[in-house]
Amino acid sequence: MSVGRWTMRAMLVGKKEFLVAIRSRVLLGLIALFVLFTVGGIVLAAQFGNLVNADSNTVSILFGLLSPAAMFVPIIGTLIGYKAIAAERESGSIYSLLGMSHSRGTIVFGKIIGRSCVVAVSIVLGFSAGAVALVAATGTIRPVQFLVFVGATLLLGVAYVSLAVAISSTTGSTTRAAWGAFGTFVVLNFLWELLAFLLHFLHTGTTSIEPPLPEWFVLFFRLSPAVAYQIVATATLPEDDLFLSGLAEVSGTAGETPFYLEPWFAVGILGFWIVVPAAAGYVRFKRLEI
Amino acid sequence: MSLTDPQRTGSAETAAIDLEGATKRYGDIVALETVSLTIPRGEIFGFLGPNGAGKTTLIHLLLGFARPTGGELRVLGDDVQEAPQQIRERTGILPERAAVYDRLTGREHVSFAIKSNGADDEPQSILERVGIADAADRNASEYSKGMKQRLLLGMALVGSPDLLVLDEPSTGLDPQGARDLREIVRAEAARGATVFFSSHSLDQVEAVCDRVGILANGNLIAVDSIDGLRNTAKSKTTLTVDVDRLPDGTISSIEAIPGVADASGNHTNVTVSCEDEAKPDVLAELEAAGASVNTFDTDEPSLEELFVAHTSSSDGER
Repeated sequence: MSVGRWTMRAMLVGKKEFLVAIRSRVLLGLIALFVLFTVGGIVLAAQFGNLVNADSNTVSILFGLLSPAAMFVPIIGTLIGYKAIAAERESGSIYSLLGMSHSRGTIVFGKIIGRSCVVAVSIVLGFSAGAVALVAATGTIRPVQFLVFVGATLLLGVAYVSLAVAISSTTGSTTRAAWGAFGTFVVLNFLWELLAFLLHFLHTGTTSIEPPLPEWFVLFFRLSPAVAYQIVATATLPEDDLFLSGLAEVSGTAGETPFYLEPWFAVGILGFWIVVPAAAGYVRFKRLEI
Repeated sequence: MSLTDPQRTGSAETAAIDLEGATKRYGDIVALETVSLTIPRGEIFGFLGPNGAGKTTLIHLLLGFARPTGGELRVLGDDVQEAPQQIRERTGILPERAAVYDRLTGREHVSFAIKSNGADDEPQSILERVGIADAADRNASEYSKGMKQRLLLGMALVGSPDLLVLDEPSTGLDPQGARDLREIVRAEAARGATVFFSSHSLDQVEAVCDRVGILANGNLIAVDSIDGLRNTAKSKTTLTVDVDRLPDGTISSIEAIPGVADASGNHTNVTVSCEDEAKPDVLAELEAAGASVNTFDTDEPSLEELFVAHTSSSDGER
């Protein structure tokens, strides 16, 4: 199959997914959720930020959203992705898709493209409303930092859609797909830290974790998409920012920063979580009997 | 369309479906046992068997949904393991366990199939062909079972495929729907397409198929034309004779007549299962034994009964 025809078919699957998300009001619901999340978060941060810190500016308000988003966005991505292929196998409509000359590849990638667009559109619209709220609350906005924050959020959302669709492609049961996808979410978002600390303990024999931390430990920690996301989202914060120096103290290492602890490397980690699950899901699904 | 149609003879070089010992095992379970079958281009082939006989398994092997564990399977000249995509691009599929998308209209379904296949059909004409044009812009979730089946059939017709694989296509269709289906199948075959039509029920296929294959427990137990099957049916005629009396030893002398499979009787009633040609000999033998025949009745099994007999006797062998 030619590349052009392959892309055309994947886009057709993607468009169908997007259309169904519009008709089923999934998109509308998601947009509402993200508007509520960003606007609500910004309003709250503005209120309490002022109480805590008189110098509270747009940056710290915006980054009050950081750890909630690192939890919220993965849940949304997982929720949007986990049924993608398992449900088509459960109902049997996958046979019609294959019957109209779709390949396993155009199905997997088309699903990821379509459902990523659903998540991306809601993130962009939600954060657009957030930008309005930010200006209303503080009278100012820092466009570069805001855009980097939104960009990082998009990468995180797409990474979890890719993961969930890949897991969905391994089973013909939406129940099992749900267990797999949400299990993966729990591992990456909760157990990853524990795992890092366990490795640290096995390596050093001590339970106390104090800076300067070993570089491999920081890297391992950052391999979790949610942590990498926080690094990327804060990458353009000024060096002297309270928030960033706090973060650097927690995760920081002494001396020269190795390349793999630079923010751009965290972008690569997010990219890894988009590309590798999609590719692995495709390779697995291609061989699968359905 | 005549048999000398150039397009038809030109494409008849390779068989539409060519199976050599096709086998599918799931662990210890044999779903399909060394099935060999050749279906020439342009034929309407009825694939019969009770539910669970392995029909869908074979169809899944043909279309690359599952992989054979043995044998050689070629569809439209391509190996099913090497080129499933090329095969599917030239094949229209009406899957047995298919579903439609609830949130898309009938027209959107067909239009999606047309774009995906890179075909140039008109959605409207496809919808008209399968008789759901008036419901074209309604969501498929509102369709009845029969309308969904018609829609899926329409999607299978997109792109004028060389091969149509219809798995239990009459599911959910009312009698009119089944008639329309047969008409479409004939029209597709007239165009030069090969039609592989699976069903658990003989009367769905006998009116339209050139040949039928009967699958039971994963084994292809018969491949024949409908007429051939009818002849087999005739060979299993049951003759019931009323006589005034039945002298001793008559039954065993009837059983000795060539072509008689079985005979039984009580005082005035004899039941003989035999080939059609043996009937006069049976009656003559009765008269010769001193029993005068009052009335007699012959009963040929219907193809349906034959089909049931075929499939249940192989049940007994297992």
